[in-house]
Amino acid sequence: MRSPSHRTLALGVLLLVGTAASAAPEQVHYALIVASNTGTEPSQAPLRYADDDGARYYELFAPRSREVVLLSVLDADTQVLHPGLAAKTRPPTHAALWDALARLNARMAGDRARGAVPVLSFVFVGHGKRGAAGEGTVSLLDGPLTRTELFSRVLAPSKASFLQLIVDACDSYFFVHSRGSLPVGPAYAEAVKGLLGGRELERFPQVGVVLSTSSEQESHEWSAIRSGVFSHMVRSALSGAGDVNGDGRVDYAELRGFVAAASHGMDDVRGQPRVFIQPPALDRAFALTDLGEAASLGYLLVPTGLEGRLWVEDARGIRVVELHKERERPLVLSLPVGRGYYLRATGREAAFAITRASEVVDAGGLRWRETSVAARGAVEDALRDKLFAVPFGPRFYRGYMASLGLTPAPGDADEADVARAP
Amino acid sequence: MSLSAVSLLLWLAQGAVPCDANTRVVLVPFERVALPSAEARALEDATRRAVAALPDACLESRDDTVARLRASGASLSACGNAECRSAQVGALGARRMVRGVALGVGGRRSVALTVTDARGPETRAHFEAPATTPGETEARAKQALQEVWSPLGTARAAPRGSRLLPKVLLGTGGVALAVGVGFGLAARSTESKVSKSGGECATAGEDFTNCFASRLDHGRRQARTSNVLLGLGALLGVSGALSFVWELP
Repeated sequence: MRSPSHRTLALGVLLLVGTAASAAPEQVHYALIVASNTGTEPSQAPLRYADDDGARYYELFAPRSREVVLLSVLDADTQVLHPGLAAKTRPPTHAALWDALARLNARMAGDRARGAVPVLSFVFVGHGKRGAAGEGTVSLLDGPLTRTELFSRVLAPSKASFLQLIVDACDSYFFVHSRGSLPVGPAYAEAVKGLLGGRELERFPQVGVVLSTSSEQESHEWSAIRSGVFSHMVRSALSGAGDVNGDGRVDYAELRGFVAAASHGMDDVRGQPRVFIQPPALDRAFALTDLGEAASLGYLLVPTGLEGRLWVEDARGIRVVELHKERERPLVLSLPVGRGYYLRATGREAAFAITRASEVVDAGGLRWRETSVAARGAVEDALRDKLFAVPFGPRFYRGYMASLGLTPAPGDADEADVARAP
Repeated sequence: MSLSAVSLLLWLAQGAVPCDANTRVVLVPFERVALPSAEARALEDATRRAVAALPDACLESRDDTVARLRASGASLSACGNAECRSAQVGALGARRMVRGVALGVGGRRSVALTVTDARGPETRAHFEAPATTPGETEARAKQALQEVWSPLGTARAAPRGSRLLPKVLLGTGGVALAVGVGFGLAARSTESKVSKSGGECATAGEDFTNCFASRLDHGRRQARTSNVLLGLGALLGVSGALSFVWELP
């Protein structure tokens, strides 16, 4: 039993830690989302769910950001699913993009002046293309946005202390360099490193990169989730499913491990996403999201013991988060407030609601009932069976990091570990 | 003396007394999400003090619990039904097990509690733990525990057998029998007086008839009351005996 003097000492240490924490500069988050279904080339068939992805990135970032800009033309279905959002959007044109960047940069400059740390998440979802000269582009409504413009007009003038670049597009790595004809297998990562590292990106150590490139549109988008597969994984991870060490933060290494686990079984599915994830060189432990920060969100605690492939659907039928959980750890998923949800697993579901900000719902106390899930088509079946087929947790993460020759993110073990399964 | 000091004294006092399997409560070290281990430990300690202050809880020390968990090597994580949970708590030699997850999400600290009874029922509670006021966390932990502790207490009290009902029935029946015997003796005394000396009405003169009739009625009422009470006492006694047998474990 600890003596009171030890408690006093512990309290003092806590106060000191709290003081130090409060002295850390405040992070202020902004997001600029560009989502376009249409391509600039006649050969590029319109995407179905790029606008849906844009709307969902908006819902992901809005509760934790000071300002979120969505440049997209939402189709009729998406406007029904996201009532009121269309009025907040602007078309994904060059002019709208430069306007939005100018406004955000002005705000971020103000943040820096008062000692805060502005963080900008720049998200693009849509068509990409590699030009004849090898330069990657992504499609805006009025023409391509080139890699040169990305570096000269987005990254270089940015006032963000950290900039998170998330691109889900064909040929995306050629945009930073580009979704299309890419080297495959181990050579892929080296090619990406070569292209990125050898050029402009290393001049921007504050920029972290999350890229996906798939060569087949069919697997890029999945009608069951009305979303791009990679963006669905990213949003799931950033909602908390990617937090492997329980610190409430999802860093680039954890996101990389989460995506690897989620897509591990997709080898025989056409167009498996090729992913490139690189943290900002300035701070490789920089977190893409931090559940500990104050936000207008509710939280679902998925306790130790609850395991397997799980997904959360909201009352609109939108699959908000998906994961395959190892049983030996609890995790927390952040969810927008003011909605009814279903926590689903194969053959069963449990209803719950998040009614106010900071509300915590313990999934261990939910009432489950049997249900059935309809399947449609061969690709549907493949994606349903193969995506999230592998549990993601400390075991997978450690093994995955070891296979890459990387050091896993630290997670300080404590005595609670003795209560968990070996 | 502050509430915390009283709680601490209770905790220290209870710590000195060895717990048995009927009173032992095990609080498993908290898991944590988005909270540093020191803060999670502070929340766990506050909850520990709140559990220790519960009237029917003999809280095992943290060191003993950790040692017991390490020695058992068993998983506490995979239970999905009452039988499994009961076995888990039983394996720890406890009457109840308290688990918690210390959370630091959304800029707030909170604890999600799970209380598992040795019979298998499980209840959950969640409380926020502001860091601003000393003692506030413990007070909120107590409030949350009261919500989940009472139902479990009620649920297990009946089967374990406080046997309140048979005691009440037998006690009331005994009293009825005793009073009935009293009335019976009084009726017999009245009957004797009326038979031998006219019920002490000889000096009443012309009112003898009325006096005699009155004494006779009085004796009859006593006899009737005695019979009713004896019958009621017997009925209550039988009922008490039946309920006693019914509540045997």
